[in-house]
Amino acid sequence: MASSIENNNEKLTLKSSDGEEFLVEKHVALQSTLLQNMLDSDCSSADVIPLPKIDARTLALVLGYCKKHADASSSKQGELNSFDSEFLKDMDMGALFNLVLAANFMEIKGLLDIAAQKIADTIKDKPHQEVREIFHVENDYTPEEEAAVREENRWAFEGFP
Amino acid sequence: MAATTIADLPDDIICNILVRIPDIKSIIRCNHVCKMWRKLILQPYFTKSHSSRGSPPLSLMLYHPSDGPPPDPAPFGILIPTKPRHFGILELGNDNLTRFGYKNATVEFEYEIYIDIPREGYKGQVIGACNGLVCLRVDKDIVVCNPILQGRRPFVLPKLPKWAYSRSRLGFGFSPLISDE
Repeated sequence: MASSIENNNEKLTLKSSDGEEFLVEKHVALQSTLLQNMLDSDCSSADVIPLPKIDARTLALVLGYCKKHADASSSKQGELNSFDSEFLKDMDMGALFNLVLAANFMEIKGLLDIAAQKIADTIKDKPHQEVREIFHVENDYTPEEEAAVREENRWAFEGFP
Repeated sequence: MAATTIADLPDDIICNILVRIPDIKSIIRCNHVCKMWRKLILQPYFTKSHSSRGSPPLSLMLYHPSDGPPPDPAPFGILIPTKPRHFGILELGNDNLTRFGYKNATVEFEYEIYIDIPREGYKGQVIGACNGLVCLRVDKDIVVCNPILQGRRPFVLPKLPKWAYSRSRLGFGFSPLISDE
């Protein structure tokens, strides 16, 4: 249909929290359920869509992911999988957290899945003290409480400090 | 701008991350990171969604301990507990799952998880596992426990009528119709 071809060429503008504007092809933006719903309702693609919680660095990453997934045909799943693992490789925790928050806000399920899994894999097999350090989590247990919780699950600490 | 930390993530995202940790041992250690993580892990939703992810290496196998010396060589499917009088849940690694179905295949287990039933000299048997809960028969009692809460006392079900012990086979399942969630 003529209208759908026309739609494919449409672009929309996203604005990051730090004021940078990104021109995005509509089919790429549709990877995000949030943007899809906005476009399905009255929101005109001529408007600038503000994303007040997502900074430019994160948004650039998110859009890179969306473009790759929008452009790849469904037959290239293997290629997408290797893109996904390469995409997150060497990413620091702060960037991963920003990515998870952005994917959650923009409702990009595939990206949320891989970023959350990457963080979970970092936790696996690490002592809890190290997990606290990596994630900057404050230990709010008293020494007595911690000992009690530990006693409850002795076996999980075999071989751990 | 200060770097984003895990404290900036809402509870549902933290839960979404923790539920993806494949092995139960790591999850239990996460109990100790802070009180909020413990709260997230102990909610019923967590156990349910963790066990329903179901992808390897989450698969669980059960064995029950034998009283005598271990048979040598151990027949396939019967695993020797390293601690007597404990029930064990064994968590299989990815590599092992592919070996199932082959004759004389041996399987290595990544973890042994013990459910300690504090009773001397019982005869025990595994009834089943479902939604992250494990159901065991210990002597004349049917007990249900959650390995993530290993230190808590198992829940003992009311006694069955006498005939049920000799003439019935027991199973353990979950009915979504009467779920309280």
